[in-house]
Amino acid sequence: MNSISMLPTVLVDITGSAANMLFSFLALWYAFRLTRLKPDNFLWGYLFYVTLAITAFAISRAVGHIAKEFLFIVGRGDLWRAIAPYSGGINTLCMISVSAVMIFYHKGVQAYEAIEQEAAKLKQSKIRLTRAARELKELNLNLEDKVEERAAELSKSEKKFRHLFTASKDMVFFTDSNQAILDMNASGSEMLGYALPESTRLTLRHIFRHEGDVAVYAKMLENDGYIRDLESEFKKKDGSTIYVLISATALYDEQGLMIGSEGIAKDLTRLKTMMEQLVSSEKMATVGQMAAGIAHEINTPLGIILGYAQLMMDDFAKDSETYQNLEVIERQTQASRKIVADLLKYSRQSGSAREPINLNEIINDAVAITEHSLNLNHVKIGLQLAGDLPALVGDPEKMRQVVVNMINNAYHAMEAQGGGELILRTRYPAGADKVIAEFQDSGHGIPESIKARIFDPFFTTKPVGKGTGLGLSVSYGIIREHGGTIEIESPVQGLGGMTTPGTLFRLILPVAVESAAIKE
Amino acid sequence: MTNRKINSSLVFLLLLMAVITPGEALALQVHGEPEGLYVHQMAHLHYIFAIGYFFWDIRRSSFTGRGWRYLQLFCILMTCWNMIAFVGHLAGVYLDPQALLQADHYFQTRLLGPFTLNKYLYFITKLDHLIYVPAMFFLFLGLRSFYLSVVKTTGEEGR
Repeated sequence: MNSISMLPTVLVDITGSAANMLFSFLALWYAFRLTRLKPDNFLWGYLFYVTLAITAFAISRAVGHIAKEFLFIVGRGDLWRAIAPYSGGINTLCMISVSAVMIFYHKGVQAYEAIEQEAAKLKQSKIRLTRAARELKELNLNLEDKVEERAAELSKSEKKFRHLFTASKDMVFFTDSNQAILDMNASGSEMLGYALPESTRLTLRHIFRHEGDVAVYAKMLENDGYIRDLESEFKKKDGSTIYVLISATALYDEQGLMIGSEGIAKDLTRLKTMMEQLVSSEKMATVGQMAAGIAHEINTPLGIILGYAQLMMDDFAKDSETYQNLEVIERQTQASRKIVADLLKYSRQSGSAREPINLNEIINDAVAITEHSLNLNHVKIGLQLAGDLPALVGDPEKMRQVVVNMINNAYHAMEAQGGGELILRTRYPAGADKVIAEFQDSGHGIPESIKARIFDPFFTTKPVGKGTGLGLSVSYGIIREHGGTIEIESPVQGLGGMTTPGTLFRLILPVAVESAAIKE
Repeated sequence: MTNRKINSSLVFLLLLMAVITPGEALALQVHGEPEGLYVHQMAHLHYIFAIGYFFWDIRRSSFTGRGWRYLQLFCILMTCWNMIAFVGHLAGVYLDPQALLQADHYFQTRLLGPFTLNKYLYFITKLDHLIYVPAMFFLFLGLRSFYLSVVKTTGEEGR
């Protein structure tokens, strides 16, 4: 082979130049679009200038090559030789430009990275600032609402606890470290008989009945920080005693030092009385059984003694000494039989009727019998009888005996002071199937120490020979037989916690269904 | 007359003598014919250095993604083209003008034997577009990839 055709190089030159122009324009187009999409991005801006320089070089070169091939094809090689130095010079310039732009790249990227980092920091700062500003704005906007909302919540909570404090039926109190009462609710003041302002001038020493209990209270709080169910006695303003169950908690300051206590005291007086009455009734039930047995055994020999005594009386002259002795035997035997009969009544061994009873009528009858002698002894009778009293079912004779017993007891209580006032009261509380009869005297009252014993058989405070001690116990037995109870108040509790000297017996009798039917 | 005035007069005289009698001052250097070729060849070397540096910096910056891979291919191919062009220009310089014979038409131009390394190099380097065109194609692909990825990212941010 002596020669090679240069035609392939010509064809490659022409098509390659055209292709170069096409690709360089496309590359420049995308570089341009990038700068439009992200005008602030340095990297894309830099790539655009690199691509622009490369495209300029490619165009310059391609145009030169195509022009050269064209001029040679048309036979104007001389013309090409004239413009070739210009084309080559421009190509060289473009190539140097491309190189220069590329070399600037490194420093540009470094600057760009530094700027990007700072920009990222600034962006983060801006985000944080924006967030803080937004939160601040929201806080400002909502501050008033939040304050109002919080104040309303606090007020609601305060009301709730204030209501608990004031409405509690138990005593709630706060003390300082010296046991002085700082605050006490109305129930506490009422329980102790003090006016509300007075209660804050008290200390625990004033209200505890026993000095030692104050020390126990303080010691338990100091040791445990709380007190649970401490049974104690409080002293009321009038000197009387109430039984209380105390729960308390110590209060501490921020340094953990005890600065006082808060306590709740529950009045157990009524519960304690009821418990004592329950014990008493159990005891009396036992005594009743015993009494019934004794009465039954004694009744027969007494009947025989009485019979024989009366038979013997027929055999002696009335003015004889023997006859008079027999009269004494007869009289004492009769008295013994009465005692036995009373015992039997107390123990419910005697028979009893069941018929409708109008308690008001029975009271009126009893008053009619006793009024004369009571008036003679300066006892004034006050009747406060309810008009709508339903009928009871029971034995009217026994009930009359109870009423007479109550009146006699009241009279005896006022006898020493030369008279007084006896109030007989009946009432029918709405909704309660009970009828209440109260006998209130203005006598000397019943000492606390014997309250629990007054219903015991043969217990009496009267002088020997004046009473058998069976009156109240028989009455108790009869009332229990009728399904009722007897309560005692001495001194008498008035409205507002005030007390009146004297005694009040309260008979509480159930209204049976059949009674209601009878009434209708 | 002060010293200042004497100095100013001496400077003026020297400048006047230089203008009136230039002699062999050689103020302007004359550039001979080969200088254009040398500058062009040096521009190729400069181009190789610049694009090599560009390639190295892309890799150093740990840029990832398809666009940057295309750009690296562009750098490699463009470096190869520069070397081919450099060699091609040298082969052209050393080629005897009589070795190219144009018959009736330019298309019938032939490279005559006997064939030397220089002639082969001349012929092969004349086909430099076979390297240059793929290089430009990868440049186009690279920028297109950048554009598409930015469009995608912008669209996601927009959502």
